[in-house]
Amino acid sequence: MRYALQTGSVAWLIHRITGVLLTLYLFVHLYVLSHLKDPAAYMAITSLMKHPLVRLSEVGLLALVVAHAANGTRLVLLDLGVPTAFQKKLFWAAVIIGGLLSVFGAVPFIGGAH
Amino acid sequence: MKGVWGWLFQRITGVFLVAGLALHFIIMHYSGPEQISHEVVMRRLSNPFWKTFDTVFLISAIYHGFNGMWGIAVEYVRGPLLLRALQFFLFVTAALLAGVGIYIISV
Repeated sequence: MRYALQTGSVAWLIHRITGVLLTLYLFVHLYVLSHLKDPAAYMAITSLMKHPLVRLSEVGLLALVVAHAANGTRLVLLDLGVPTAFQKKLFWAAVIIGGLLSVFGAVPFIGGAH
Repeated sequence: MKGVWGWLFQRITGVFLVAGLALHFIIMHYSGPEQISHEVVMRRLSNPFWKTFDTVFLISAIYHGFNGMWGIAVEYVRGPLLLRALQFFLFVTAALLAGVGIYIISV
């Protein structure tokens, strides 16, 4: 019996880590949006989004969201009764779909849509 | 939240968040740079539909995130007193965050 690095436990760990990071990001997101009350302050803080490092972290954030969403969808499907025989296939489907969405979704961010 | 209701709400908010996030990303990030400008954001927030959507979206995200944190706490924290204190802390933080968020949306 091998516990380490099975698809289920890797998915569980990724789900947990991305979940905690996304919850912490809620604070950052609301902090930025709190500047909406003052147009000049809002403009100042959103202009930070042009910075390459912020762009890069947005790509990272997208990957966190997509990873958590893809794995969460997998968990809901399993809860809804998809046979456990498909568990491994479902894991790899989540990895491939999540990977594609992260890569293609990152293009506008890097390309400078804003 | 405990037991089957916590589990169910985590699923319901999760499914809603996936759909909501897809919409959020398409509208805010993939529809042109002007979408996050102060003017466009304020115009969108003056629309009752978006105001309602953003409020439900915000509450769902906060519930889902903090219920998840609570799940982790239940798993790792053994002392019942510490667990109770953590529960209180998570609840108050989530409520404050929701209050701030609703205040921001109500501009």
